[in-house]
Amino acid sequence: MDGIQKMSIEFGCEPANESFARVAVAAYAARLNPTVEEVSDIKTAVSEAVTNSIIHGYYGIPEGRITVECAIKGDRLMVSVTDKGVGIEDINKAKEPMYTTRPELERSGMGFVFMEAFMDEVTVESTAGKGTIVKMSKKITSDEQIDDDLSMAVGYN
Amino acid sequence: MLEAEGQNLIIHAGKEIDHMEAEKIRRDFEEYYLKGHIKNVIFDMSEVEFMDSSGIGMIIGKYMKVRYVGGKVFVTGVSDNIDRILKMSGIYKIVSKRDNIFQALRSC
Repeated sequence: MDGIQKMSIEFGCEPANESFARVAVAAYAARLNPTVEEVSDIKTAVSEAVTNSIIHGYYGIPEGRITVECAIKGDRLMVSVTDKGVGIEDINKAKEPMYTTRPELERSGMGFVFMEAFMDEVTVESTAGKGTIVKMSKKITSDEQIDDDLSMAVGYN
Repeated sequence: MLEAEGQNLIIHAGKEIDHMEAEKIRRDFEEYYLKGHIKNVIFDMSEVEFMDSSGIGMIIGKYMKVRYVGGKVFVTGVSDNIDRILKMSGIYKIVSKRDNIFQALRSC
């Protein structure tokens, strides 16, 4: 992944790491000064990708490892989520709303729909038996209101 | 946390509805549901600060269960941010939003 100020974390496929991953990415994104809504979008999208790796990619593979990488390019946050799990046989099918291979878990089949709704760009590369990489990016508008409020509070302007 | 009120079941969702929280609620719900007499389900979302599509699956799952007995599903105490996610998912076609639990119970 190109870009400056890169960050990467690797963790096991325990469900508890879903919240760890999304909070870590949100904390990384904070340097772009995102709005509250943008932080929520990023956390949800990361949660979707990591949950997919855990529930689908590493189904029956408890020792699986997931890598999350982040970079900043100008005003864009780039995030990738990589697993070495079972892969997705038919990516277009997987992206269809309400399509899930785990209905017994009450999965909504909305994971990719959410990623695409909350990020600007989402690409999926997957090879059956090798794993999946989800790459996402989002332009951060920068919450200038907070800057203004802050500078007023500290007596600038 | 789940709380039965007659044939209505109130589910107090935790702060973060993700895969783990949705699974926990699903298992707790099954216990209640097997005992019978549950018709309507009210999700109290007043504590929820984060939600991903696991929350949508959780709500649809309950709707699929109770619709056979003519039951309804409500969400209450929805913050602006969570409302945005619920709207985006299209779930308001099958569940209704009420300001609070009391109002939802009156609509049951």
